[in-house]
Amino acid sequence: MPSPSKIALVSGLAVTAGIFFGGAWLASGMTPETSDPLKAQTALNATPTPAPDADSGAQTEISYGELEITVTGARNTNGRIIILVFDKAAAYDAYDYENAAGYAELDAQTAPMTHTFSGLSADAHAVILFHDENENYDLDLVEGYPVEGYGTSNATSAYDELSFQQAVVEPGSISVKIHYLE
Amino acid sequence: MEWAFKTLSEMEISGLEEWIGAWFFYISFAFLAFELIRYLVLRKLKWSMIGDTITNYLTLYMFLAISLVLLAGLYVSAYVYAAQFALFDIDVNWATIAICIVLADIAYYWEHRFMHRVNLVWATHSVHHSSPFFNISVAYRFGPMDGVWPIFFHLPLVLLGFNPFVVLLAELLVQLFQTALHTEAVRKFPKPVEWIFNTPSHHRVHHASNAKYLDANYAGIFILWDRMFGTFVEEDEKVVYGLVKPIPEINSPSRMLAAPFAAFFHGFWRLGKNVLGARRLGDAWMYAFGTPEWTPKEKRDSQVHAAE
Repeated sequence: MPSPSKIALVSGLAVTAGIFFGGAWLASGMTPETSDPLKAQTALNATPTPAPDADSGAQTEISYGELEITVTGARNTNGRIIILVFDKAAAYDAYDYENAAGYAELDAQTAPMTHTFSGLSADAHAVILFHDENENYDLDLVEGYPVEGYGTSNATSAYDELSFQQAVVEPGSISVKIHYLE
Repeated sequence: MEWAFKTLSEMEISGLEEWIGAWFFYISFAFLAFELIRYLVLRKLKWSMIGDTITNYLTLYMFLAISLVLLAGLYVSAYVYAAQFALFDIDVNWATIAICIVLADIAYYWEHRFMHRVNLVWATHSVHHSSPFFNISVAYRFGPMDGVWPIFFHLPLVLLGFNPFVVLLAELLVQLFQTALHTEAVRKFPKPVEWIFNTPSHHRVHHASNAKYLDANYAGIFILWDRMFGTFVEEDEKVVYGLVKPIPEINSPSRMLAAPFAAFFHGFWRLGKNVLGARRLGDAWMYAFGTPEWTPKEKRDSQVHAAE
């Protein structure tokens, strides 16, 4: 029948607090960059691209720094599709279009639309787009919920809220679907 | 090791939590069947054991009804609200989930110790300990207010920066690990396992009413915390399960139906009787917030006289 003393109880709680803070601090350092610091560095700071390889450059259809985006799923042809390409997590998190790496407006079509961003300087980008049906340059919300369509690279449903790291795509061809909540 | 640091979404986490919880419940039924057949073969199966098993699941449903109606929404919204004050920015990936599970296990240790050492809280947790048997169905035997206390002990993890849904997943995993220990079918694991992990042997001690086993082995996953904080006791004599003051047995068939309710509410019934029947205000306070072994002065004196 163990009956630990008051001192044992208090020091036990103090040790617990120490383990809690230490554990949380340790966990705060464990991000996707932990396993691959170089790649993350490139993605987050958008360091300049290395010089294109002259030998292999001729053989690939899409050269380094180009992102071909196919937009699908528009429900009508009203208004336009606004596409934002980000190479910085902070800009992506804040929907900061002034610090976007790429911006495009397409006339809305229900058939797949394609747009190519060239001259991108990073090797990882996250794409956000939305269907601006009433042409007010805003994703309209009613009671906090979007009433216009939207999409993010790598998202699989309207409920996916991806972090920059989750939404990142490499240069090449990608497809982004427009999701509608209603 | 790249997979360990890949960011996971909240949807993946809460989906995983639901999936694990549900499958564990189904598998526990298969395990219960195995245990009952084992008792049958050993000629230890009794009708009272089967009745007790039914009581266990009925308390589970009463507990779930109370928890889902009163607590679930409060729980999640308190966590999500607290998350905005987080101290550290912690990513959601398998590495941080692993750390969160270890910390949630320590949080559980203190929560569990608290539930045993304060009468008001013991009133609900004593339901879990009131079974005179020890099989996996006992793990699902809950008291009316068992859902209230975890929040206070795990909220600090959210405030430190762990994602609310990761904390909920970690709480579940600690709980399920311990659930699996409610069995007599496993005697002892190899020494190193018994030294580090909570095991059926350690948890049998926790469920004992033997004097030398009281208030010991509060652990969830790691028994290390009991060793560190001075509450560890090794299993070396035969365990008598249940409460020091058992719930009176119901023998007449006409009153059998009352058994699950007697088990579910007996803790609060005793608490209310003690607090309302106290002679002094100080006694009422101790009956509510003191330790379960506390008794008023007159009783202590009369016990001493009786012993003489």
